[in-house]
Amino acid sequence: MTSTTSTKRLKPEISMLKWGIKNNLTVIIIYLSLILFFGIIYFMGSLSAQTLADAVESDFNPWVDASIAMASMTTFLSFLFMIVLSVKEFSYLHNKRKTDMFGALPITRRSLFITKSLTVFLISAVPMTVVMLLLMLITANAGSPTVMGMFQKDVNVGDVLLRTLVNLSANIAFIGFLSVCCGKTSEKVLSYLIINGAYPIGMMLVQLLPASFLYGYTINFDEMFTFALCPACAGFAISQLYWLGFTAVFFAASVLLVRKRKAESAQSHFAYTVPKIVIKLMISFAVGIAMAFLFAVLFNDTSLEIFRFWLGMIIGSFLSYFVVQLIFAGGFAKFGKSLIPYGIMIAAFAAVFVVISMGFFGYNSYIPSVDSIKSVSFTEGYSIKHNDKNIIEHNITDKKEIEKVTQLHKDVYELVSKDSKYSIRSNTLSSVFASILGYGNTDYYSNYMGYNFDDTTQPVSLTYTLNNGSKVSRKYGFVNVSKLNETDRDTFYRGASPLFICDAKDLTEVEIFEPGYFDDDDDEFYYDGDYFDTAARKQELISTIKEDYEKYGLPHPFSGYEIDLRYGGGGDASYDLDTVNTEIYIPQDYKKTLALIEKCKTKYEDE
Amino acid sequence: MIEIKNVTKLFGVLRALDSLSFNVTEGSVFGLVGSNGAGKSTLLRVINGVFEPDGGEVIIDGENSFENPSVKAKCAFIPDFPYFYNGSTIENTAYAYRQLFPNWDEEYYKKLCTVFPINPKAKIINMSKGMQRQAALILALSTRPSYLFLDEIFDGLDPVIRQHVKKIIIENVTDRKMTVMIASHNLRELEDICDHIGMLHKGGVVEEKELDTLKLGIHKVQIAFNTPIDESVFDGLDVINKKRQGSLFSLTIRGDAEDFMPKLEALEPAFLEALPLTLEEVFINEMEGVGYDINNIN
Repeated sequence: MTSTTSTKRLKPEISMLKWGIKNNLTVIIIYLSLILFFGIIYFMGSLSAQTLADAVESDFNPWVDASIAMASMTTFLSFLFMIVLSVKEFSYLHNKRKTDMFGALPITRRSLFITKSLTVFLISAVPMTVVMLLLMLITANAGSPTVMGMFQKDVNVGDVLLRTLVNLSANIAFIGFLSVCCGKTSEKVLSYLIINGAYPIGMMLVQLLPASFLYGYTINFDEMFTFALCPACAGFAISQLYWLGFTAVFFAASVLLVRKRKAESAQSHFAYTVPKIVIKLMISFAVGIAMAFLFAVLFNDTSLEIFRFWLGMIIGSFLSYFVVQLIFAGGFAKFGKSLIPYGIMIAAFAAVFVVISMGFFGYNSYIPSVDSIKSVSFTEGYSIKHNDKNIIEHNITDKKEIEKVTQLHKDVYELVSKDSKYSIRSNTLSSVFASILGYGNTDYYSNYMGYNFDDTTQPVSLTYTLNNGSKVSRKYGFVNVSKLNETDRDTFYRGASPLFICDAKDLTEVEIFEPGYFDDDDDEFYYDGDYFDTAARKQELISTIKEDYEKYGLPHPFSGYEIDLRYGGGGDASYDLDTVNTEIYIPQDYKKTLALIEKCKTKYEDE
Repeated sequence: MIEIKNVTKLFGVLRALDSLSFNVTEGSVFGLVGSNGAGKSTLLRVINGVFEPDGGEVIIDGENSFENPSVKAKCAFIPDFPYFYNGSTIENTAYAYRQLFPNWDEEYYKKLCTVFPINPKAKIINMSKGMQRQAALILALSTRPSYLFLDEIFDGLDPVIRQHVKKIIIENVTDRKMTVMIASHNLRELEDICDHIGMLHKGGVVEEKELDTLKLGIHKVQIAFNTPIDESVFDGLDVINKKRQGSLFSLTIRGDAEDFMPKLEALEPAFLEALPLTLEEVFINEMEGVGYDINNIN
């Protein structure tokens, strides 16, 4: 019998790729249909909503905004289908019958795995890319989108495409890795959900822990730390470079491990033990620490707070560990032995907890000696850019002033430690609120002066640069400044208020409110015009207020007039983060300032 | 030639294969039999590179078979429960096999599609177990393998198709010197087709011989006497099994009939008959020899 061999036999890898695509034709058709169906609905809906809104913006771009909307929907659908395809294509590792078939084919394990990964990527990325490229054609030369949505204002369809491709790559690599490590599809899916959910939650809560015990520690949730192992966020958090590295690392690890993977682990058990332990510990830790904070914070009672914290930690961590172990092991077998890593985790966390709760080696009360300080700043780490310079950059180098700042620091510490006592609840909640309000955020800086001194709370941020070049930084989220003495308040104001540290040239907006303005009386004076638009008048205003301040000191009692100063920014500054504001409540004895206000009032009302 | 050299396979603490060693010569039809859990299917998977052995190696035509596409291209494996994609047909599976297996024979494939009563465009997943096996066989044989590995191939096949399958296998062995290894509990079918038998129990080899040698090496003897005799008269013979009913003895004797028959005739029996055992009987007797019999199974 003659044997007919193809003269153009393709490489096995290409054959498998073609076969894989052919076997998923139904999925591809459904995927494309959904992209077109929902994408077009989103597109048309966005378009009609904008025309109905009768926008008046000169840079209104309905087509661009609609394209972004459709691109967002396409991203979402491609993510969903990538998950479905990944689970499907890598299931050959988790099914005994499939393992028999694929294991006996004349293709190496590594080639097969790479081909499967490529199959998933091509099927999920190509239709999405085609749609996005079409949208890019539609929006070419049409300008930037005007809607914020989930993206920044300067995002375009090309940017969405890039982010989505990065997201798909990272997730396919990660799911491939989990597929190699797991023995069952259910383990893989559960592991993926746990890691993407539990890891960021656990990391965010871990970052909360120092804030509960350390005064001057303000949470600034580190994006890298929080989302490093959360590939669901790939392309949209941290940097693209990181995710490309992530993809490379997990893909390489998978290719290495698949060769030695025990095929008999299909439908049986994890092929590699370490990832299983890590995943169990991850969910256990996340649930435990969440329950710990919940138990500690729930009741407004500082007694037994530590006990409640640990009760929540043990209950939450043990129960979740138990459930996941039960699911992974399919029963109670070897449960006792499996508790060893759990015990190590609890012991390690307990050690960290003790160190932090005892003040982390004197962190709380530490203030550098004056002689060791080269400079100190209330604004270091913050940046408000205007005319190519940081307008709030201000370093204090005079020794006498530095001494005043250290005294202020000492008094602030005594104040906050007395106010908050030793309370996980109050420290945690205040740190969380401070973080939400952006007090730790380097993009946002705000400072108030002259508010009602009875209940003013302000963030106090201090950064010492020592003679040896190192830095010591403390950020107190909510400080009741009215309880500080006059010297301290003066030191703080001169070092932190935009009135003193910013240049009058950078003043971009002035608003003046007459007494009673906020009492719903429409006849009361309100100024937001251009009287103070010239450099000379800006300088006059600032100098006048400062002169009165030097003469009469901290403002009290209140005259009723309020001057709001905004530095930096431009245009619609209410949406511009690159501004800093201060509100000055003018006291009755600031005669010169009040005279200037009357002058402005006269001119303004005449115009 | 297939060389199995000290192959060991562990599943946790269970030693599924224990330093297994034997060879399968080219062009032979090797029957792999054994008790349940003896390691037959595991051995087939190790040979085909599905499992990596924990010790030893499998050499096919001078090359290690694990992770060796060039060796696997010459092999075809049909497991006990072959897998097919949902919605796949013989035709669209052949689409991939054409490119994967260098010796794919399109003409032979078309011929097999006509000789087996199967529609190549029908969905395999909707077929019966027996028809799925036929589909698997069509695809496997169309790759023109030098080595064909079959796990419980006769399971689910009707007697007519079984004969047909055996005929096709023999044709390939005769025409192309294809080497076949069949694992099965259906010893009756194996007896028809195999020329070599390997008997496994608890991961080890109990016996590995040519079928004829195996069968001729053990006999069922019935011997009856007119006068009572002492059973010690059978000392000196390799009696595996002995049953007595009065003066009638049913013996299973290992050895060449030419050697032990004269000794039995010397006892002047009233009746003496020696018959070769069937493969099944051989199997049962050999298993009894290693302690695997119905009286020992709890």
